[in-house]
Amino acid sequence: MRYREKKETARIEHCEKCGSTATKNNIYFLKGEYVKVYVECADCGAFVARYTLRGYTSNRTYESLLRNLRSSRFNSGKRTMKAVELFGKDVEEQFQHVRDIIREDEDQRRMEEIIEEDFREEL
Amino acid sequence: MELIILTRENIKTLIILAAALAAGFVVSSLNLPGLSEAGRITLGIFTTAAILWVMEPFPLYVTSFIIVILEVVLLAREGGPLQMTGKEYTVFLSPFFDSVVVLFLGGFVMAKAVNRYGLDERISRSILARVGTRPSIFLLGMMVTTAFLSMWISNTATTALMVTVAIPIVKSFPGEEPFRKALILGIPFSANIGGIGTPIGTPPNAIAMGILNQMELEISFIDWMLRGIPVVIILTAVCWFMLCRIFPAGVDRIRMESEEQEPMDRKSKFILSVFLVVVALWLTSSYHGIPSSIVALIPFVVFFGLKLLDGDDLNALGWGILFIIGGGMSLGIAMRESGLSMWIVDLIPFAGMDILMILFIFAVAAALMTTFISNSATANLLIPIVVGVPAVAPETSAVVVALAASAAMILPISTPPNAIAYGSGLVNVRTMIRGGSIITAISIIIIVIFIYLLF
Ligand SMILES: [Zn+2]
Repeated sequence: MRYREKKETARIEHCEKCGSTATKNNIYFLKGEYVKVYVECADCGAFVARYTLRGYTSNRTYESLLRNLRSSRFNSGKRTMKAVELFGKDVEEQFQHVRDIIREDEDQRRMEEIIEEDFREEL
Repeated sequence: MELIILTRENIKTLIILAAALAAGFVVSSLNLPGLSEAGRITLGIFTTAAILWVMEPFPLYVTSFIIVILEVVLLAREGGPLQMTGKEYTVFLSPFFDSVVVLFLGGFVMAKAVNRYGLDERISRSILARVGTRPSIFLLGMMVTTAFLSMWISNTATTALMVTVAIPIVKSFPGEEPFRKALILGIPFSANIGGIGTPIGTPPNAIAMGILNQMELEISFIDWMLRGIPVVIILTAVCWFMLCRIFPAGVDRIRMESEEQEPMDRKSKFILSVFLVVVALWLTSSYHGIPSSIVALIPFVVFFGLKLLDGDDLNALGWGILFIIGGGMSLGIAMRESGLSMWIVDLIPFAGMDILMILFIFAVAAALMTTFISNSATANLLIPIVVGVPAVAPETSAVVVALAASAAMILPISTPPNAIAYGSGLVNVRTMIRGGSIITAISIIIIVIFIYLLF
C-alpha cells in the first residue's frame, strides 16, 4: 500500500473482451493534431483503448528530448543541461518503478475509474 | 503526515533564498555616501535579485515576482521612501504587459503555429536540399538556416530542430572526422547569433527595447533589424570561417538522403501567409502607424480564433520568459526612480574614457556574465546600469549589452542551445571552449565596432 499513500498507482492494460494483456499499438498521425494511439488486443483483435499523446519518449532518448525541446521554452542553460542529463536516466528509472508498482500492488480498478479526465477549455 | 513540501531540494532552495534576502538586507543597511534611502533599498533588492538569478534556486521568472513584491513592500507602499500614493505602485507591475512583452508574445504565438504545423522543419529541409554536398558549403547552409530561423523562433527550438536534422549526417562521417564537431557546434553558435537579428529573436533584445522605451527612447522593429541583421551576417560568416579552420573537413562530400517533400497543405500556407503579413506590418510601422505590439496581437487573434492553436498551445507559450523580461524592466524602473543607476554610474570612473573603450567594457562584462548565467538575467542586471552612463547614448549602450549577451558560445551551460548540442555527446566541454572562446572574442569586437559606427 506504500504506493497508494503517495497517490501513485499503476496497472497493465487488459482487453475488456478476452482479458488478455497482450496488446498492439496502432499509431495515427495527422499534422497539427496530437498523435493518437489505438490499442488493439493482440489476441482477439478487439479495440481496447485510445491514447492521445502529449509527449513521446523512445529509448533513443536524445532524439526524443530534441523533439520535446522543439516546442518547449528554456531560458536557462543550467536548467537545459539538467534536463539533458536527466532525460535518458529518468525514463528508464520511471519504467522500472512502474514495473515495481505493478508487481507489488497492481491497481485493479477499471481505467475510467483511475483516469480523471479533465475536459479541455475548447470542448 | 509528512510535509512533502520540505524535500531536500526545497530546503536548499529556501537556504539560498534566505541567504539572498539576508545579503540584500545587509547591503541596504550599509551607509553608502551619496545614496538615498530608496537607493539603498533598491541596491538591496538588486543584490537579492542578482544572487537568485545567478544561483537559480528556482526558475528565473520566480525571481521576477520576488522583485515586484520587494519593490512594492519596501519602496512603493504608502509612506515608503518613494513617497508613492494610491495605485502608483502599479508602475512596478505594468512592465509585465509592456508593449515589448506583447510583441514577444506575438512572436511566441507565430513560433508555436510554425512549429505545430511543421513549417520550421519544412523550411530547414528545403534550404538544406539546395546547398549541395561540399562539407564547408553545407555547414554554411546549415548555419544560415539556423540563424534565419532563430531570428523568428526561439534559439532553443531552432537548435533542437537543426540538431535533429544534422544528427544522421554527422553520424554518416567516420568517427574521428573533426568536421563532425564543426557541424554540431555550428548549430548552437548560429542560433545564438541569429537571435540578435530581430527584436523578438531573444529576450535581451526585448529587455533593451523595453528599458529604452521607459526612457522614451523608441527603437522600431525595422531600426533594430537594420543594426541586427548586418551583425548576424558578419558573425555567422566569421563563425563559419573559424569552425572550418579549427575543425577542417577530412571528407570531400556529405552524404545526405534527400526526401521528396510533399506539397504544403492549406493550413500551412495560411500560417505562412499570416506570418509574412505580420512581419511586413512590423517592418512598415512608420508608414501605417500601428504599433508593432498591436500588430503582434494579430497572430494571436487569428490562430486561436480559427482554432489552429488550442488551449494546450496557449499554456505552452513561454509565459515564464515574458515574466523574466517584465521582472528586468520592473527592476530597471526601481533603479532609475531611486537614483541607484546614477549612483552606480558615478562610482565607475568613466569620465575621460573613450566611448569605444566604454563600450568594450560593457560588452566584455555582458559576455562574461552570459557565459555563466542566462542571457536574460545578464541583460536584466546590466542594461539598467549602462543606459545611465552619460558619455554614451543610452541606445548604443543598451544595444551593445543586448547583443553581447547573445555571445555565449563558451560553455554548455552558457545558453540552452549550447546545452542541447553538448547533450548529443558529439562534442565535449573542452572542444566547446576551444571553438567558442575564439568566436566569442571576435563577436565582442565586431559587435562593439559595428554598433559604435552605426549609432
Ligand atoms: Zn481480447
